Amino acid sequence: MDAQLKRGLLDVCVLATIKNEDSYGYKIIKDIKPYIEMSESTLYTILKRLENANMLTVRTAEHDGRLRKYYHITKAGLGRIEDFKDEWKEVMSIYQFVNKEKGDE
Amino acid sequence: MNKQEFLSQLRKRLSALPQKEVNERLNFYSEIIDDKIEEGLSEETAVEQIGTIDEIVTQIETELSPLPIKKKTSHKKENSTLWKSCFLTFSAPIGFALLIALMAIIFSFYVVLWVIPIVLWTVFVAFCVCAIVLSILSVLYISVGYIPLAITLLGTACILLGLSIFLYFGCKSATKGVESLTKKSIHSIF
Repeated sequence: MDAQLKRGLLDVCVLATIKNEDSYGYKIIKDIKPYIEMSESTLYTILKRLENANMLTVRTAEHDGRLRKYYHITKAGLGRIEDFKDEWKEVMSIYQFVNKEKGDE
Repeated sequence: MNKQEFLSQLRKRLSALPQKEVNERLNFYSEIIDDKIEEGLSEETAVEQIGTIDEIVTQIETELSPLPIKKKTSHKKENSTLWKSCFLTFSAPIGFALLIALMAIIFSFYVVLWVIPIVLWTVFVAFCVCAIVLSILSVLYISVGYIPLAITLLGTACILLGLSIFLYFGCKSATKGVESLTKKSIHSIF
């Protein structure tokens, strides 16, 4: 996939995984894996970027005697998901146009 | 490789980055490795799955650098190399003579091309002039009384006039054609 396109998609994927409930690093990777390839270092960068953009917040909690970071989506993060959905409605109609076979109307 | 080895090697390779960021990244990897172990993977496998140290470092470097911008190859650049090679060919000592010979050929080509409409226009003018002269002569002959001769002359004048009308259109299109040919060839050279 085009690198720039992938970058944009991964951001929204990560936000989507924490939309309904908080999540942590490993779980996020597992949840996204069936849809798109993402490495640990890429996830780190994305989480940092989303945090700096105030689209998520981080808290540390104890789990099994060690510390784990949990990520929580913000209102801005939810807004980003909505924007993405709107953008892609447009992309879908363009896709249908591009994909039109000769003879369909 | 076990977790500690992995983390310390990675720390060494990332020493160029700020301490805080290095610590954060290492904690991040450590947490994921621990989660994988909790899920049942061995420490070795968990570390392996993250990737080799080289891969990770390259990935981090790629993320920190801006995305590559596609270079636009300009058409103009290609043209200038063509000119450069022409110039180099002609700047050799024998090149100057070659250059003159080439220009002479190009010039004579254009001369020949333009001769065609020039000749046509000349004939056109000749026809027109003859037609006029003959008509005048025929009028004179009528006044003197030589009717048959006068009619012949008038007839000839009419024929010439008719032909010149056809010739006129021929001249026009020939001129246009040669003009556009000249323009096109100049544009493609320059």
